[in-house]
Parts: sequence; structure tokens; C-alpha cells
Amino acid sequence: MARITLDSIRKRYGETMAVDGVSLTVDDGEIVGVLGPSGCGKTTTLRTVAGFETPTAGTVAFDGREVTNVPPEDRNVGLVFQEYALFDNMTVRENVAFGLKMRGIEKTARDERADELLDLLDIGAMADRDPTTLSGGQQQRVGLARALAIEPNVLLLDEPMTGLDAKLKARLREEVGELLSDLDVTGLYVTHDQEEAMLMCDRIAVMKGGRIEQVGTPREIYESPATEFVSEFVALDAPDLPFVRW
Amino acid sequence: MSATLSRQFGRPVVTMTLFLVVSFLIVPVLLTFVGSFAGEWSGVLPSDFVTLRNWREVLGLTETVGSQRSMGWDSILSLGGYTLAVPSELIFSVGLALGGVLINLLVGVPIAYAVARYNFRGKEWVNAISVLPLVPGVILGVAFLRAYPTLSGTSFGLIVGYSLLKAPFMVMAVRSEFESMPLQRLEESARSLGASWPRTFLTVIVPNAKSGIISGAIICWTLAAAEFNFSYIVWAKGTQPLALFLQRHISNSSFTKAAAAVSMFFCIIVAITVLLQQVGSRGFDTRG
Repeated sequence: MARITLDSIRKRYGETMAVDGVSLTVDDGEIVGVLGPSGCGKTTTLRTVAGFETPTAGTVAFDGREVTNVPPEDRNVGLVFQEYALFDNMTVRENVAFGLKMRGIEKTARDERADELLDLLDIGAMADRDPTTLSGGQQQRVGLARALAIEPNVLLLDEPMTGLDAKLKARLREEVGELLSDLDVTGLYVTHDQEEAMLMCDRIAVMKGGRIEQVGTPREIYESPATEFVSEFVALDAPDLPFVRW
Repeated sequence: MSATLSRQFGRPVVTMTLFLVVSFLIVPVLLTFVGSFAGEWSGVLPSDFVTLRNWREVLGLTETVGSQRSMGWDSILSLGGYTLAVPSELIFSVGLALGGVLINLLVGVPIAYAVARYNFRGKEWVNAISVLPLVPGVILGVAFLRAYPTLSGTSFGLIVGYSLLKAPFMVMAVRSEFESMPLQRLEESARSLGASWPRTFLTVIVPNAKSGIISGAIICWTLAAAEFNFSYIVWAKGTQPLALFLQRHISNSSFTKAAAAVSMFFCIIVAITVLLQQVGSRGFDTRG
């Protein structure tokens, strides 16, 4: 895992400024939530860290080493998407072992590592299955295992729970939250769901119109919002959240 | 009330309609197949069963080499007075159509990918142009002869023409497959896991579009093998494409022999379809 530093990132698409001067540091082992409404630039920020977008200006550094122009396949970044995006032409185990295969690790070693992760995520029994036969929650765990298998510098999660039903979401939130802090994962967690961000993240950056409005712990954001937008956006219906990392 | 109505009438009506439509489509094929074993077919129904004469002639299994030659067969094997000849049209046509499919795969899959995946200037044009060759084979054939006179009458000309004419089916089948999956996400997952772009394309993107690619290949092959108009205009001499061979049999031979030729074509189509499906699912299987 590594310390991720974004320095004055700007990304312009034609006339529109998708990201307008974002500076953010994610410390080693820390999960930072990027929270905001759709179109606020949070996904573009995440894609810049992954290397799928080259910023118009600004730099990205992993552990102080600049990676702004390093292609995605050489950044060692784990990605988890709302759409799961599992490889249907491979078994669950092969999905998880894919990144290790790309790194030239031999078959028995990578299968062993894949099985270990699948057990950790409680889906060890599914290893030989076709991913399309799994439920949404199970598929999302496979996606998470696949991203974790390469021991990424940073884990990027793009709305990973959005497609799931409320009950499953609550359970996964708890389990995955614990797992990520146990594994000491450095993570960037993009979501539009303030409750999810509060529960899963050590710090939260609230974004609006391509800029960061405020960065702070869930408590700081909730108790002393810096702007009216932040206070409105994080206002919870039922603020009795047992797992919030106050 | 309406539930009972639907149970009483709805289902039988749907079943009957389906049955009638399927029979209407199947009966001619069955009748032709049965007729190919008949000695006579002058009335509505064939008669004088069962003879293998028609099939023997169509398959080139007649006793004399002369009669095979007259049919245009090449003899490949002589054994105890019998000569086994394979209708060269068969192999030739299967090959021509497969050549067209191969070009379609190499050109059509990347085009379908580009159109489904990227937004670029002129995307609509690429899309339109890739679907444009839906023009009838006659038109393309004439235009083709004008533009590339050196290709006229050559096998290569036929292959290129078939691939052009059938490209839209490949592009459409594969494109809709690409559009039904989270293409960008799949690609980004593979890239972030350390796969280069070419590797991502070949080991993740293409295998995930398997079913679209297989059905595209089957449609392209079948249509190319049966393409009459274009073949008629571009073909000049030598071994005939299957469509022309069929036409010759239908217009110059007895009805029963024509039935055997058509049945044979039908069998080839079924065989190639099964073959493409098998090769497809094996070829894409990266397991084990």
C-alpha cells in the first residue's frame, strides 16, 4: 500500500472543467471517501488516480513518486466497480488470479492466493463457478478479491454498493469495512451516498462542481460543515449510525 | 375471469399458431428431403421410392467417371470400379464463404468494438458505412466489376465481395453484444490488473463477446454461401460457387435431383453451423 498524493489536478473536456484544482492526500492505510452528487468530478478524480485520464494540469504521486504519465497497467491499482465487470469467460478463481497471471506468477501459487482471498471473503466455495451464476453481492466480493489479489498501491472503489439491495448493502458495508481496515488497505471510495461514506471511510472529501468543498473526518464533516452545500449534502435522516468512525 | 379465459383459449391459440407457422416453414424442407429419395416427382407428391440415384449423382458417386466429369466433379479416389468424387463446388464454396467470414472477423470485430466503445468524430459515419453494404448483391457486383476489373472472376474477388456484402451482419451482431456488457469497465479492470491493451482485447474483450461473434460468423457464412446475385455477376469460369451450382441443377435437372442438391446444401449449412459453434466455444474457452 502507498500514500497517494493528488496535487492541483485539473481536467478539462472541451469547454467544461470536470475537475478544477483538486488536491488530496490519502495516507497509507487510510480510506478516503469522495462524496458528491453526480457530475461533481468524483469519478474523473478516481480515473485520474487509476491512470485512465491524464490530467490537463497537476500531478499524481504514489509514495512521493510521480505517476502522472504512467499507463494504468503499470500503476498497480485495484479497481472495484458498481457493475462488477467480472470476466465471464473465466471461472471465479481465474478472475481473482488474473492480475497475478499478468505478473507472471505461476499457476499453483496464484490459485493458492486466489483461494485464500475467496475464503477471506467467504465465497471460497464458489471458486470453480462461472461468475454469471453468482448473486450480486457474491459478484461484488469476487470483484473485490480480484482487485485485492495484486496487493495494489491503492484500492479504488467506484460506487461499489450502489446496485445492491439495502439489507445486503448494510451487511457488506460492515464486513467490507472491517476487512479493508484489517488488511490496512489504502483506498479511495467514490460514492454519492453520505451514509455509506460515513460508515466506510476514515476521512471524507465532499466535492461539488469539480472542486473539493471540505475534507475531514466523518465527525468534522457532520458536526462542522464548512459550507452550506456540505451541511445540506451530509444531513442524515437518521443519524444513529453505530459503525461511524467518530 | 380473464385468467380463466387466458387459460382456456390463450395458450391453445398461441400453441396452434406456433405449430402452424413452424409446419408451414418445415414442410417444404421435409418434402424436398423426402423427394430427394424419390425416382419421380411430377405431381404434388414425389413417388417411386426409395432410390439413392439422385444423391449418388449429386455427391458424385456415379459409376462412370464420364458422368461425374459432366457434372463438374473432380475424382479424388478410385476403388474397385467405383470412383469417389467430391463435388469441387462443395469444398470451393465452403472455402469461399469461410474466407469471407474470416475477413469479416478481422475487420468487423474491431469496427464493432470501436463504435460500441468510443465516441469519436465520424463515429456515425463509420457506423453507417459498415452497415451500407446491405445493398443488394447485384448492385455491389456491378460496381465491383467496374472498380476492380482485375478481381472479376477470381476466387479472391468472390471472397472480398462476400465479406463486404455480409460485413453488416457481423458488425451488428458483435456490436449489440459489446453494447450489452460493461465494455469500458471490463477493459479498465483488465488494464488495472496489469494487462496491456492488446492482451486485454484478445483475452478479455473478444472472449466476452463470444456468443455475438459466433452468431455473426454463422449468419455471415450461411448468407455468403447462398449469395446468388453477386456470384452470378462476378463469377466467370472454373469451379462454380454453390449458389450457381444449385441454380444450374434446379434449372437443368429433374426435380428429384434438384431436391437432392438442395437437401445437400441444407445438410452442409447445418454441418457448418454446428462446426462454427463448436470451434467457437472451444476456441474461446480459456479454462484449464
